[in-house]
Amino acid sequence: MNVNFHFLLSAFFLLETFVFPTGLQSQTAVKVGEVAPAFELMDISGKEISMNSYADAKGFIIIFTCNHCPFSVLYEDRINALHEKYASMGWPVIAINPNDPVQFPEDSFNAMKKRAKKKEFKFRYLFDESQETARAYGAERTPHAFVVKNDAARTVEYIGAIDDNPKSAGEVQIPYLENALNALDSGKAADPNFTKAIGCSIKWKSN
Amino acid sequence: MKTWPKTVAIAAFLLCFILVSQAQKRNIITVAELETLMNSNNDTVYVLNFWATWCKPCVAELPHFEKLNQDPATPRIKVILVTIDFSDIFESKVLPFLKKRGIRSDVLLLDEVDGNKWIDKVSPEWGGAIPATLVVANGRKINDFYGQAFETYEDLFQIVKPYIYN
Repeated sequence: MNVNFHFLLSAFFLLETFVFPTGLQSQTAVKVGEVAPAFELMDISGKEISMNSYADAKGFIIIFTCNHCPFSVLYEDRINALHEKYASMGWPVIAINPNDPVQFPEDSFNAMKKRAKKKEFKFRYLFDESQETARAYGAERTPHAFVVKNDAARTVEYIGAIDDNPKSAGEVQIPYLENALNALDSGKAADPNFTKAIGCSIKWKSN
Repeated sequence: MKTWPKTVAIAAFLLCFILVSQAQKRNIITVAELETLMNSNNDTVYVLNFWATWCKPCVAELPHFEKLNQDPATPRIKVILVTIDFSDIFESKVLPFLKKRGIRSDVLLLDEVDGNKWIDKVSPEWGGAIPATLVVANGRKINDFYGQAFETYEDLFQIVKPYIYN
């Protein structure tokens, strides 16, 4: 009982004091090689989805993304294409919207459904209502990709950018995420396994 | 009579020279040029704000940065707005956007679409989300990174306050 109380108190202070500086935020984030945080979130289809929802997946392409961010919009078709290519190989895309719909109504659950229908998303699009999943993964921007290997350990194997050119899909020179997936699919490690990209800030709830 | 046009020409040239040197800097720069800027070693304390026209919280805080730049109490501070908008819209969209809002701070457009090539050079703490601000001076002896928006002018002033006086 005492241990739980002290843990909760520390967690409360950490969140209260350090919720702003993203440097400290990333210290609590999952790192490559660590166990991928579990989640169970509502999909736009109305189903609760977790990594256990997939019997045969070799791994998961988890992408924190949203409706409103222009960089997310630039990547929508590419995320769809990634799902179409890799899901059949055992690596489905699971998109997660981490944003507060109060600040950004364009990122509400209903708006997610509309967007998915309009752009014919083939992948799961989950709503991280409490934002706990985004915090556990250390999502720092949209879009932000995490590849998880679906073995007993369920480790994160890649964190970062989708590719090196948000502006133009046709002019991509380094498809960071695809390179990681191809390596992992052949039993190798992703290299690089960590990259950075520009994106929109996560819209954390106030209070 | 012969010297008249010559005098006018020289005067005109000098006037142009003065106007150009006072002009707001509006350039498209490379990562290498950004690094040179961040490594500056003079008396100036640079406040580099990374933003884009499409970024709502970025645009909301621009007036605070403009005020800081104009503040006569902070002559040592120089604000530079580094936009990551795409280069093809610099003249057509970014500059008019700033002019409309009365923003006269220097603006540079960083022309490098691969964030992985330069985000860590600004700060290894930076996850790539904008807005972000770097206060840098004296060959990076002063090197403070802020991965957040500034809600009020006071919040922004606080971070440069330690550096106002030499």
